[in-house]
Amino acid sequence: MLHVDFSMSRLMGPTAKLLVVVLASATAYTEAQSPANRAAPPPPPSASTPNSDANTQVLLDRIDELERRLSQLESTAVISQPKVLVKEVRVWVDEDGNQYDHEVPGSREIITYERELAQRRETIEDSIDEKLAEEAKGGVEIGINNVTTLQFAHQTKGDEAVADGHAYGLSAADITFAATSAALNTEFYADLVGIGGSPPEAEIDSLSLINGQTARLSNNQLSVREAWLRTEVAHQKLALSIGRIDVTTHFDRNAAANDETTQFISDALVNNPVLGLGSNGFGTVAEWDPKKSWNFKFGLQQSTDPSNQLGSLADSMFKLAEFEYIARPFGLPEGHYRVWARSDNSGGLGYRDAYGLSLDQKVAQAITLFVRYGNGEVGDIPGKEFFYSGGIEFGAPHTFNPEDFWGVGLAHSDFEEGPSEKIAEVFYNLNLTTHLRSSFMLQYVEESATGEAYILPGARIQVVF
Amino acid sequence: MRNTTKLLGVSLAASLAVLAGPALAQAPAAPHNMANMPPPASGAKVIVSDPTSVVMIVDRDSNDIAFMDIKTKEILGRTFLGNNVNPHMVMMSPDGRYVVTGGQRSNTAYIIDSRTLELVAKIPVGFAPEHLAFSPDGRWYYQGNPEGDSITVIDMQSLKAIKTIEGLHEPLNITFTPDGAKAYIGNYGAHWVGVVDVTRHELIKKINIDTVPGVARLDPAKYLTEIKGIFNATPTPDGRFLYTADGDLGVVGVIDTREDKVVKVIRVGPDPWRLYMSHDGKYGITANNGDSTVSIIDIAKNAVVATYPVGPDLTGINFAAGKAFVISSTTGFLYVFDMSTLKPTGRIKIGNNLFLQTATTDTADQKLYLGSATDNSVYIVDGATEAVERVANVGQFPWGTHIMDSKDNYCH
Repeated sequence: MLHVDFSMSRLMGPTAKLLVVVLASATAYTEAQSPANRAAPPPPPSASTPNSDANTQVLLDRIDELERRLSQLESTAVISQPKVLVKEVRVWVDEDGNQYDHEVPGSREIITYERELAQRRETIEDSIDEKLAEEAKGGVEIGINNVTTLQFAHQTKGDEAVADGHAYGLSAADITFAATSAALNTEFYADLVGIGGSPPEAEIDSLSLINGQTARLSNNQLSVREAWLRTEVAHQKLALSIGRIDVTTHFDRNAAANDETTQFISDALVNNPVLGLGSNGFGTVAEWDPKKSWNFKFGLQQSTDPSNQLGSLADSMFKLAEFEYIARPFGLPEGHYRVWARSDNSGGLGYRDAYGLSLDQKVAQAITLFVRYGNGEVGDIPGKEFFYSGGIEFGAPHTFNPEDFWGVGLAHSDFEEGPSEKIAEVFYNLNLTTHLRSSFMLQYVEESATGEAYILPGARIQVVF
Repeated sequence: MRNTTKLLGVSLAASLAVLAGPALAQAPAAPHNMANMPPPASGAKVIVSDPTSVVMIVDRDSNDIAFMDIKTKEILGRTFLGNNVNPHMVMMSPDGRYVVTGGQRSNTAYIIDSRTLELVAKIPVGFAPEHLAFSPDGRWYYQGNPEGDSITVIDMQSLKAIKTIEGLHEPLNITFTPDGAKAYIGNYGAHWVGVVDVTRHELIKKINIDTVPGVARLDPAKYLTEIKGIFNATPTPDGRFLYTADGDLGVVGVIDTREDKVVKVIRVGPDPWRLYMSHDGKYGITANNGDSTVSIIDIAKNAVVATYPVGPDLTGINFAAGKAFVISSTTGFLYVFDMSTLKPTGRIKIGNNLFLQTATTDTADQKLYLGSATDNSVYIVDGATEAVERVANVGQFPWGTHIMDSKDNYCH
């Protein structure tokens, strides 16, 4: 028999302990199989013990013993090392420091920690998986997201322009860092983005971005898109985020038109231009969400042109509030109805206000309608801007593959004292693998300021890890 | 010669079982009142006189089943199963006479006298037994052995294993039809549901829930490293239809039990764990661990009528007081939905640093009994008021709870 001195095991690391246990199990098994240790055959019937019943009983006992040992081998052919669990326990301590597991007169309840040992069915694979999961949980999670877009411009209206027949390519790579403290209900998130290339709006004078990937960010340089700390208080009903934020992450989160990397690429179909946010910046967002059918959000953000040096917060204050309600009108599936209002002084003309609506309503499980509306003063542009957009998104079974989706949308922007823009887009997002998506877009853009119109076919490849 | 004798013996036993099976399957369940039963053969003291009056708690690490009085919330007794057992799921027989559990580590099924709490039988079964079910007449105890890809059939009259049903892939749950003629097996290691003829205890059919998309070939990292198939088949109250969620495919297949064929495939959220049926049978809810959502299915329409975000690591859903309670294991929250409006109504914080498991609902559909593994507790949640009461020291690592005749008896 192999004897392992487990008194040494405290000095061993987990891997060494594991090896010892495996070795011990394997050796025990080998020994059990060896001729010397196999169950000794029952003694031959002796002429002096003719009682065959007694011999049968010996045999049966031996079989029982063998079955017991076999069962033991089967049931312990997993890690036999006890699992150490440290548990949070409530105990009662009196004035003299005596500890009880129940309340006694003069004692007070405290929380302490105790070790427990458990014998679990666990294979080596389970144990390794668990350790890896623990490691990942305690560390910083790093994600990579790269979207490369190719678009072509074909002019259909207006005087011949330079963009006609040109192709545009843009690549945006995000590296994200996320860390969570579950006990403190706190999360840290940072998103570094590098954008390089040339979007169509470099040559097409459009009111909104034709490629929304550069929205509120600087092209051809590395930027911090977001870097914030979020914590939940008040029984986790109130979430507070502070740092460099992108308010569109928190507000106007339309389910069908909110992500330029997988859904519509036109910025007018990703955000509401009347929100009027020039760039991401330092800010804070408070979200009151009791997880009922409504929630309320309020945000403050520094908002200046990204090329400007940032000054006092008061010089560029962007204030935004939103109320969201979840409804099931006419027996339809769920829909999200949002109303928002904002005030912004970053244009240098004092506080200028706007309000808007954003809704997405499922009409069937795989069909979602969306609508946006905005009305108000934006930046330093004279007069008001009116905006509306709408469309529809389809999922499986109206797709080639179960996880594909596609959509059609229209958007219209109109300045009271200025130009207007019409945009139409259709896209199809093809889910190739867990890490790879490809999508195809066809956009139509019409600008009143130049009298030009374009059709822009395009494609995107997204790699996510 | 010995083999021939054995074969004859087995054949005779099987023939008797086949003959006895259908007749017994139709027999009405015995009354729950234990006063009608003869006194315990062992002469031991009766600890539980009414099987419906207790909550059974599976203590995985202390290797016992604890019996808690529903009224007084006191532990009336415990049945220690042995060292290195790791019981996984507990269930009371339909007549209330026995309590059974499978020892995940000991590869053994345990049968407990529900009155005296004595361990009356230990039956070797397949590898790593987890989930189990009784035929409606209580005659057959099917013990699933996911790591052995089999089900052990135990005769509750002789308290002996009479057969092993092979050919399954990680069988996790068993659902009997109300007449006890068939049992449906969810295979987590495949995308089909097995149909077992209960009179012969034989796998007679495989029902494919949905086809794996062709694009799966491009994604071996997802489809060839791990499989998340079918956890269970959830029946409608009349047993006519079964709802089978498939994790990898993100769908629920609806099986007509008369025809044994899929009549509808409903797309839900990613990685649905299983479907939980509301007690009135109007709605089913899937817990989608892929994106931490729930999908509510209208059973009459066989369509998803709402999808809502909840927390991560969903381990179960219970129904009480007209609401659904969704258990988010690692966050310590229960997410609550009003089943008349099908809208969220808030969430209940059970505690911090907890590892919530599964719950059972009392037969009045008013209270939940929720196992909480890391603090060795059961939390009682009042469905109407949403008040929470803790019962501590119920055993080590309570993994699940069970109340006789509850409509929410399940495991994970």
